[in-house]
Amino acid sequence: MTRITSRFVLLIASAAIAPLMLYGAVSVAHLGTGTEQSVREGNLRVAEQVGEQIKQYIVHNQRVLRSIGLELRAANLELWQQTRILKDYAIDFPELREISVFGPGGRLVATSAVSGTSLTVPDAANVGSDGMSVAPLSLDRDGLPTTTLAVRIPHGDQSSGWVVGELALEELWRMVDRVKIGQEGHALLLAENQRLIAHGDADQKHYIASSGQPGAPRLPEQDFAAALLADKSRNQTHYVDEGGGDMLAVAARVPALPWVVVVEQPTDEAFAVAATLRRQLLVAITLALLGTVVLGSLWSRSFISRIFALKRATRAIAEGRLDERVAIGGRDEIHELGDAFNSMADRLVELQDDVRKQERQAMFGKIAAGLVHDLSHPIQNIYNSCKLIQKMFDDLEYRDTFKRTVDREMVIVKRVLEDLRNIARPIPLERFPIEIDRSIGEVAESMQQLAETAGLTLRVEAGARAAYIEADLFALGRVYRNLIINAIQATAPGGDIVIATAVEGQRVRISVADTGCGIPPDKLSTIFDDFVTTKRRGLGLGLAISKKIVEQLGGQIGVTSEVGKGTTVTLDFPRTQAPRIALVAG
Amino acid sequence: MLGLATISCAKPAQTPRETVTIRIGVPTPASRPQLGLSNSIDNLTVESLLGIGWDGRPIEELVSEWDWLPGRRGFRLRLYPNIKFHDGTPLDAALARDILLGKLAKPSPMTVGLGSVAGIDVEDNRTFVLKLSRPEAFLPADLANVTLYHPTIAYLGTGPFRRLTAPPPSSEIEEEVTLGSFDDYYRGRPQIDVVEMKRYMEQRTAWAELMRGNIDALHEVTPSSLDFVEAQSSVKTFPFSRPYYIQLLFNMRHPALKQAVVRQALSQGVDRQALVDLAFNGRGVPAEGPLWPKHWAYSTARKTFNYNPEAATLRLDAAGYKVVKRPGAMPSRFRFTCLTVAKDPRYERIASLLQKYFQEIHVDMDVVALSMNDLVARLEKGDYDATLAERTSGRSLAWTYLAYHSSKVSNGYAAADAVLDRLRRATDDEETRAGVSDLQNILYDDPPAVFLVWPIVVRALSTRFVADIEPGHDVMTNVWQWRSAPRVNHP
Repeated sequence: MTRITSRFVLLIASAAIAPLMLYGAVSVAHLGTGTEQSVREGNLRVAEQVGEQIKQYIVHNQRVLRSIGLELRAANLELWQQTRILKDYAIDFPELREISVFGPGGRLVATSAVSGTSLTVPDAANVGSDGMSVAPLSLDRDGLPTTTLAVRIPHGDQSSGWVVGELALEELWRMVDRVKIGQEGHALLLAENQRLIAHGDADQKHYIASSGQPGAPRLPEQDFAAALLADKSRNQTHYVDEGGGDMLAVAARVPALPWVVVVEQPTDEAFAVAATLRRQLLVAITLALLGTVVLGSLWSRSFISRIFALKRATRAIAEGRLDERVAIGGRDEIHELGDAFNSMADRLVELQDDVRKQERQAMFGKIAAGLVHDLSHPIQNIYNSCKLIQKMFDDLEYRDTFKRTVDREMVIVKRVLEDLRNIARPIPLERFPIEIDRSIGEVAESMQQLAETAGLTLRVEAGARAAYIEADLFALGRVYRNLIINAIQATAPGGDIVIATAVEGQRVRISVADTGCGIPPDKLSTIFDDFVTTKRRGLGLGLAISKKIVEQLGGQIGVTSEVGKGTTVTLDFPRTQAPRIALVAG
Repeated sequence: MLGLATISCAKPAQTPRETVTIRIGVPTPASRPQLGLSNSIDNLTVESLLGIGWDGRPIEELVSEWDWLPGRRGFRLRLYPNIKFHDGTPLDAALARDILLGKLAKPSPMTVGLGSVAGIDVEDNRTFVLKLSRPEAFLPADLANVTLYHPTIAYLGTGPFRRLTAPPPSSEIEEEVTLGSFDDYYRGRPQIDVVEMKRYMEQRTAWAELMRGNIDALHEVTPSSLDFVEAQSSVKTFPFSRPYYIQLLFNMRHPALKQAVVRQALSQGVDRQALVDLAFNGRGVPAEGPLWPKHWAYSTARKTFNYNPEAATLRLDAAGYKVVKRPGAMPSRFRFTCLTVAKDPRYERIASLLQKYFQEIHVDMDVVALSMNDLVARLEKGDYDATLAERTSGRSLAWTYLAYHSSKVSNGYAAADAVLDRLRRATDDEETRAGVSDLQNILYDDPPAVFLVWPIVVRALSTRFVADIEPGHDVMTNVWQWRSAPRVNHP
């Protein structure tokens, strides 16, 4: 049986909890991945913007050099003027440590350096079609990375000269340092050979100074940059950095330069928002689930409790406590059901009273009919005899007949009244060990004539060995006679009645089987009830009294029957020891 | 440098502990690279009788007490007890006297008044008196400039650290040195066991070494890299105002520069604050003169040169200097050459800025960068028009005397001689204050140089070490009190 509580649990689970959990799982998963992807894309955009800024930084400085070149190209500037111009630019543009101008053939024309320049004209291989050059990264005399920018100065038909500027590393570092993502995210700039140019983490700048030195450690950022240069789609990764932190890293190439910008951020910080949102969503869903469970429990409890109340009341009604009523609160169908139940119970009581009246009436009628049937004949016989005795009082033979008739009919009357009395109270029994086969044999012998008259065969099948039970011989005999008479009355001529005994362990079984008309199944369960009979007339007390006797003797009585085939009544008694001296049945 | 005998000293029993070594990077001072590490070594290994405090007054060093005799005709000094040289030789009054007498026989050019010492009397084991032929206000400062070496082993001192090997010959410049702690130092054994010092030709090179972790302390952080060093959590920086200023010193023999009004005009033509911002990233204080601004007698009620190119132009016009076209050079009122040390980015930048400022008032300054040896040679010969260099002001007035008294300098400047002599003879604070005020006025009316900047120097020290120093003071003055930082155990 599936309980209503379980149904409600299933209902809430299937209608609310399961969808909520499914929604929650999907949302958390998508939120996490979606937010993390947003973070990656956001950081990648930052890296691209930084790359663009660095490119603009280079372009800006190239433009400065170009403007220097244009300014110097103006007619007939003297050396001191050219030098002054270069020095002024070096002062005004701290991004350039030193600016030098070279004429055709690489001849030094002027320089901002007081102590003389270490710059040279660029390698032809590094010069672009626009006449600009960014030299490959190299190490300066301090072991720090440096590069130079160069811009060609066309001189009409003559070979061009060059304006060359050395980039101030410190200014580039400051630019990279300004790139901040969250609290701990920063950027790095790497050259084409993965040499570190700038590092946005103040405590890790020493890797710049170490980069290129013998024994310098290889950083995961360098491998990442190399991978990006090889395959531009590999622009996102995770790694553990030199400080031991798990980092989310994205990279972008600096446009038009063989440099890479890496933006890295501790994974914890990068995905903190996602983690927070996930936590918040989990908390919200958990609270929603708890709320659903609590509200569902409260509501279902209020619903189910009313159902249970109805169930208890119904059960009480079924148990016969017709005074049971329910108080169902609310204003819904359950409340109406409660009212209907109460109405039904009231009606049941009325009906029960009616039925009882009718049953009483029916029973009285039946008893009266039975009594009339059983008593009318002997009473009529006594009446007739009393009428005749008035006339034939002097006839001694008839007075003797009258006495026998009255005695005989009074026995019948007494027996009927005795039966009535025995139904109401326990039958007094005297118990003695009785041999079953012998007691049955004696009764069967006394009923043989009756059986033969009805055209039936009555036989006894005794057990293999003698068996004793504690019983009242007279009462037991009455049971036998009642069963045999019923069998005779139910069996058509030519049928058989078999009385069998059997010993099974400590039980003795006696069966009375006939080949009669059988008992309908609907009557079978009430066959041993008082005033129940399959006959047209009679009180219907025979089997009821037999059952009472058997049960008082510690036994059981049962019946099996099949309509048209016959009936078998079985008596089951506890076995007892044989007496020292066997009593004679009779 | 290698292969010389290691000095052995008697060491008292010490509790065995892990050797604490610190590596200090010392950029060579651009003004005197030939000194190598000698100054830095002396700061840790030798001591003077007295020191000069941040306010210019004498402070304890080997001497714990001192006082003037009446009329300032004598100066009594009392030594600390238990002072020893690194070989264990005790320093008492008698030995101090003998050493001083040796110094007096060959007075250092860095002293002013030791020549006034007529004799030295020993009063007891720790007390002696310098008898003076005349009052010498600069005597304590001179005694601060006289370091006491061992009478027979020239490189042994009484300082908290000792050389573990003898110095190289004087013809060689010491590039690296290792010093060991002196267990019998009278103020207590240093907590640093070994000090390794290395010289770097440029500050930037030393900074790169600090980044690489090859050194633990940096003598001076360049202005351009200061923000990076300050951002490093593994390094602590110690800024302070050092008694050094940068000046454009003029040679009075130049026809234009010998005129005070020209020098005043040039002083007015320079935007010192902009120079601090552009050449020192703001880490400096514009210099008003050569006197140490924290000196107790320094007068703030003084005349100063504000940046005013128009006023400068008017002065030059009034002096009769007109702008004249010159072939191959910029049109100018006059032209002079400025010598400076080569390959020092800082001086190159300052020189470029000065050129720009002077150009605005039509004065042509040609910059010539020389190696230090060549620079020193020309300065000694007086073969220059102007020189851009850093100069110590010292914390006492003695250094000002040494820098601007005509008996001490080669640029022909003598305008301050009288007042400097007065200061030398001052017998009380009132006379000193009055003399300082007059000196400041003279340096304004007849400036020997364009005084540019008092750079703020920043030292850097790894956080693996702890140095307790009052903010604004030089952390390198108490290396002997540095110690290892407590180790933090990370879970």
